[in-house]
Amino acid sequence: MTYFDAGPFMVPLNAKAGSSSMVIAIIKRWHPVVYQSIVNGHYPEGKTLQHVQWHSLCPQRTQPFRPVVIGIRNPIDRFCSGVAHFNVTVEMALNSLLNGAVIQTPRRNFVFSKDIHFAKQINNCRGETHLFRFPEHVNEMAELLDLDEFPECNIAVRPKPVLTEEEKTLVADHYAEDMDLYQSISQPNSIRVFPEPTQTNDFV
Amino acid sequence: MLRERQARATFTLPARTGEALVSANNVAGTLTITAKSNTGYGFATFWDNTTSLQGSGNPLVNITFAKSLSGAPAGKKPVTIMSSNALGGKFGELSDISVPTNATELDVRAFANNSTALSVVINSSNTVLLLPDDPFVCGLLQVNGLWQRLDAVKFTALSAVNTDAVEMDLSWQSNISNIYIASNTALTTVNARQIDYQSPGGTLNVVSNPLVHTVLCDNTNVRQLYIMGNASLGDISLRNCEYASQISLSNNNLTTVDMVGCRPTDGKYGSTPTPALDLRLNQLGAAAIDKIFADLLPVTAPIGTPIIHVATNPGAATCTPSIATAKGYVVLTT
Repeated sequence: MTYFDAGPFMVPLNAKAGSSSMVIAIIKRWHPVVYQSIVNGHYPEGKTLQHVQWHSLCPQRTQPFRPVVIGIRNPIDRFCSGVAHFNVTVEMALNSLLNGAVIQTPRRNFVFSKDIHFAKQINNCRGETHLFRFPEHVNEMAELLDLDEFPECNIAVRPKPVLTEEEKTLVADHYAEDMDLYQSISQPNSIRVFPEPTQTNDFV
Repeated sequence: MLRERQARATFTLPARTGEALVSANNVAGTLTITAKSNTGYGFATFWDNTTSLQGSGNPLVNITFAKSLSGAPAGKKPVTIMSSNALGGKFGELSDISVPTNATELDVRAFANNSTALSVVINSSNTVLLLPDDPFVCGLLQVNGLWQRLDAVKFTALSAVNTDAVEMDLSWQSNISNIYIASNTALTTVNARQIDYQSPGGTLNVVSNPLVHTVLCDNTNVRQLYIMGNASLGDISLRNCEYASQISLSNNNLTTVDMVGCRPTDGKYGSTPTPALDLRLNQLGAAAIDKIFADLLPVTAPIGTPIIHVATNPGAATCTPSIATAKGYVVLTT
């Protein structure tokens, strides 16, 4: 697990739920020295800092030690976003997610059931957790985190697939806990208490 | 050296497949061996032909064999251990063997071509470890003692190495998943060249070894490299590690890095998230940094925009980032 240091809060890496935008906004607000390094960086022609994923440069821990703030995305939308991200068919993605089939690429093999883009969002909730819907509550989430900007980053370049009813059922069943969690967020900043982490690690 | 020790060794009992031989020379104290088996039972035959059936049937619990050495004859006293059924018949496979400081020898040559990874823990530099000449599936090799040299020959599926050897040669191994070499106060050289890591690639960790001055890890398919905090490490060769996508070389004392044929790509996630290529906190001059930029392969779609971080090096302010940005990399110099 990865939890970004966002001042009085910690924000988990919730892939396919605005994490790239969140990370650069957190760095800008809470880690100005790192942000200045990014601003002063040298970029390929036609690229800006918004084309880069900065997760590795944001101070973080593997377990939270402050209240957690997370935006929960509709699991079916998030699944579709993940499928588009990897440019695979829905059938391949479901087979990998549900049966552990290996997705092979020239450089790397993936099993979606173990990939962060398809991990269950509820597993990021630890201790006192402030829940928002993503993207519906993104402004309220930014306000709580004192972020003055939430830039669009890592925007999807491929169209998202449209699931059949049967595929939707399979995805919803797999992410039943996430679906319940998402639907339970009736208003921004719903606070729930989840089991505490068992250990903490230093910033890396 | 290990091979010299092998040449000197003599053997009392031939070990059958899947059996380990532990020997002691002392005539006082107790010889205590622990192991695990996938049956939860283990059987030992001692030097005086007495036997011992141990275990509770739980494969997760260590099985302990112990026998007093008091009154034993002088010289080598061998013990054969094996996995067994509840009646002591040979069955199943051993997975973890740990021998005490008073063991003089651990012979696992009968584990050649084993299918289950065998982990070995030795607690004394005086214990001779006899390894198979044929491929050996080793999970963890941990040596808690000061060896002058370790030649880990023909290991497969080696997941971790923890040793106080001065030199470590793991070159030309195959099917290795991860190598972890950390906090070894005597280690000076790591040879991890030509290793064929398990697909989709393994990890090489060489971390906080204060005397390590040479790390060779060129021509491998390693995917993640964490070579950090080695205060004596001045140069390193990663040549032709094209699959290395997350390379952290921070906080060493590097003045040169050979990265011909490398293409670091992501590095955004993982237990130790780092930029795709992290060179911070070294002694790289501008020419050395520019050579790294020049040696790198260009970024290819759809990899994205990998980050190279060269801040806190003497040459960071005067290097030529355009060499790398022209290939698709982002360069951070401050």
